[in-house]
Amino acid sequence: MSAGARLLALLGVGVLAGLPAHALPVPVWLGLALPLGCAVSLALAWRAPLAVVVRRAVPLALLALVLAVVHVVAGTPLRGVEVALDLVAVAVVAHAVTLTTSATAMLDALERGALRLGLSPGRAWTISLAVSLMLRAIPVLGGVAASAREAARARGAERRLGAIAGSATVRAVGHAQRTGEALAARGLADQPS
Amino acid sequence: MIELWEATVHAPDGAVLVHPVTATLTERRVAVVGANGSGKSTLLRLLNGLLLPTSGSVRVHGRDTATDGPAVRRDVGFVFTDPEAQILMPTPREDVALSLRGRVRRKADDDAALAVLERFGLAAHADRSAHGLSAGQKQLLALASVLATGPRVLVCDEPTTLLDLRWRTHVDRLLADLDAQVVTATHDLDAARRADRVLVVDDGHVVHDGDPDAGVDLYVARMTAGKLR
Repeated sequence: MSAGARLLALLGVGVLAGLPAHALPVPVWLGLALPLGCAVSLALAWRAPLAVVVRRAVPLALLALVLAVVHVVAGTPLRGVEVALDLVAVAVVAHAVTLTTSATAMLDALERGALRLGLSPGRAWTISLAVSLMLRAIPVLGGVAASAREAARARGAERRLGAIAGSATVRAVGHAQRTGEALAARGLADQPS
Repeated sequence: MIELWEATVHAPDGAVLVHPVTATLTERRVAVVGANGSGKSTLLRLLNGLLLPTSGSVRVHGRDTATDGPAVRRDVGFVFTDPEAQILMPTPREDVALSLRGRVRRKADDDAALAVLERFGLAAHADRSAHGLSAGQKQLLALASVLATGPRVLVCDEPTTLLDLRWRTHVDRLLADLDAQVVTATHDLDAARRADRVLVVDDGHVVHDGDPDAGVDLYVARMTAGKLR
């Protein structure tokens, strides 16, 4: 399956996850399971390393669990289950895409897609580059957060979550600024020829 | 050739970061030395239009950085101290291929990228996660990605500061062998002495412009006397 098709599949799962389960023309239990079922099926079809997909999806799955608990406490348990399953579905398919598709192929597919939507070549390039950089930033920002935690732990301040979050945010903004400079330094921030 | 004419940089609060500099840099190897916070990096960022002078002008091969920024940046590569932010794609091959987009036929990107990586001894890591490379390998990758664009001038802001001796020597040797004009901010005084011209920067002023040995001696004298800010 081409990179473009995989990105469309990612979009499709995202849209499906956004629809309420009861609005789908299937039994509710099927509507709840459909997004995650599609995500796992796609991951298998693309031969994504499932152990890696699951490991990477764990942080978002934990967040999904917290949200589910909030809904249970609020008296809307079914909604909580739906939100949790939808979040995990999107995480699974997103990781499956990034693990099975090269960044260059994604960049090309996004640029072609943007051109087909009628955007100018300059805009299409900017959008596709922005998405690729966002994907590249994920492990880097993970490292930034880890460094901030490590620095706090070295000072015995590991419980000061506000300070850690603030430090990580400042470093992340710094990384974004330096990325902008790096783009300019390679002449990539300017319109493509 | 890089021409600075009364190039000045002010901070938003009005403080002067770089006092008026007038110089024409034609030498193949130019070193810029100075204490931390002296204005070296600010001066270097003027050279490819990453920063524009608040007054005066900077021209590279006749092109003004203020009016011909994109054209200047195609001619002037920039290497930063920390390679992490310079690596824009997940793998070395993709990162170099990004630089080659528009310069080679689309389908030839990958092969051309691999050829570049081979020159820098990174071919074996072409499809590894760039995030997992060592600091020295990341700096090599940053250099490879910038040099893949074929710049006529390369500006390096302390490219070896974060590297151990082995990698520092390797990168220095690579830079020495380049055909491009290289302007490097550095704390490595031995490397500065090997340059063709040295600029010493102190508190935003260029206090020496010329002979490398004299420049380095002046810098050392000022540092040991505590005069550099």
